[in-house]
Amino acid sequence: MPAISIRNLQKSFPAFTLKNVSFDVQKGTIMGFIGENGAGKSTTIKCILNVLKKDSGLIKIFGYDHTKEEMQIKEEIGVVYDDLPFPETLTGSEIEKFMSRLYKNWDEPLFYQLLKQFKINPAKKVKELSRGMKMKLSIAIALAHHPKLLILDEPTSGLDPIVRDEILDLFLHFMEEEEHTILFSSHITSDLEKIADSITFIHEGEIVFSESKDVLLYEYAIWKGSQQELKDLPEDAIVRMRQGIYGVEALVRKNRIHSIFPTTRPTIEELMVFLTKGDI
Amino acid sequence: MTALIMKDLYAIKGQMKSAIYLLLFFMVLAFFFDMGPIVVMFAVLFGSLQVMTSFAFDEMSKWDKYGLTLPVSRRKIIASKYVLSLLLTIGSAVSLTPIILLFNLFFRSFSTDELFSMLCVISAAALLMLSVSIPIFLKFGTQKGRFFLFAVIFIPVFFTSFISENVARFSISLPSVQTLKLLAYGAPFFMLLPLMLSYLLSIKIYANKEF
Repeated sequence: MPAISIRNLQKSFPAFTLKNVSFDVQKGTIMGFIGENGAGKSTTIKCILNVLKKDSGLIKIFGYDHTKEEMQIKEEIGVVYDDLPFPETLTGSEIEKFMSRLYKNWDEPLFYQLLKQFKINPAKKVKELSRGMKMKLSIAIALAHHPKLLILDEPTSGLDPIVRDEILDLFLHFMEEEEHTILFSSHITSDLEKIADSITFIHEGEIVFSESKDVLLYEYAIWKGSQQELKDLPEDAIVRMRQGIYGVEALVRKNRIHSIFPTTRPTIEELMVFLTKGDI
Repeated sequence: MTALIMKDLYAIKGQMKSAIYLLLFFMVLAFFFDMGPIVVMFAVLFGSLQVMTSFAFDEMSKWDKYGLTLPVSRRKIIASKYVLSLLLTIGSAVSLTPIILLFNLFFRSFSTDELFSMLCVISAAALLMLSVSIPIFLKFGTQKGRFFLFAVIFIPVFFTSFISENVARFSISLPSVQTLKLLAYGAPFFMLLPLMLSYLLSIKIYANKEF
């Protein structure tokens, strides 16, 4: 049973629509949710969490309908946004005091242990913390009630590489439990390259692909050459191409071209750019 | 729900401290210039206004989009704001009681009775103001809501002062002092009805609100 299952999710705004979004996040895996700014990542996540009301579609979390069993589901979820959404006059220990009353499984010693590990002074107000510290506090809050599912909406955006790396390690540590699952939205694809098991790519409100990372990276390849050389490539192998200063680049299906054509393994970022901006 | 009230109380703690300093300042002024009623009015209204501050803090920190991911229903989130309103209004009124008694001990320009009935009327006014403004803040946010709030306060104040200055001209016969006193003491209880209606309206607004 998937931890999250979405079928035909629709949500319309005057200037944007989520169109028939469907994908599954398997238990015990990290799914990277990628797409350019405004592609629909946050809208999808907010629909999953029922912060935004879906127009239609089916969303199940741990097999339960996300609105019918909302409170039970939310006991098992930890959410991290791209900022720390608490009034800035609060301190870490004040946040702990009221959050502990919200969750049945709240673990006070774990919260303070995480704060100690992150070198966060619990007496400091939110407004006195650096961006990196705020995100670490946000993660400590999300982990302190022993959730089974973490939903992360751009948790590493705006952070320096060292803090990002520390945070990714935390998520990997969380995944040591077999039952744990992460849905990780980001446009920093290198982060997902490091930790994700599967990737779902959303573009202009539609899912382009939702696939295991390894399958994706083995299925596609990047070929570089001149316009003349391009003519030698089998037409059905070319997925997208783009004109560069020094020639042509093409995203190709690896199993459709002969190994004599020199190709390189694409990064997730290259896949995203080709599928968004490349010509057919 | 207690958790959400705690969150708001922690958030406005700093503001409350400043309010207490201001109150002390007004008390000193009142001591020299005999302004007991102003202290009462300031304290109760300032206490209630902290509910608005809590909305502003929530909006600035984008709390709601996070609050709705917690195991707490939308109805409870709204209920917490109304309980906070009652706590702050009643709390301010109750904490003023010893101050009023102290005033009466030093100078008797305002009777204890007079100050207490005033305390009740102002508490009622504060509850009415909250009943109107909470749904407005939920619907339009604190920025636009402030303009409505201004109208909510200004129009009744203007209307009341216009009437009171023209009592003679309109040949309005005022009720007896005894009746007015009874009305004043009963006012906070009468305001529980608009507060209840406001709560139901707020639940409806918040049920469809998206963040």
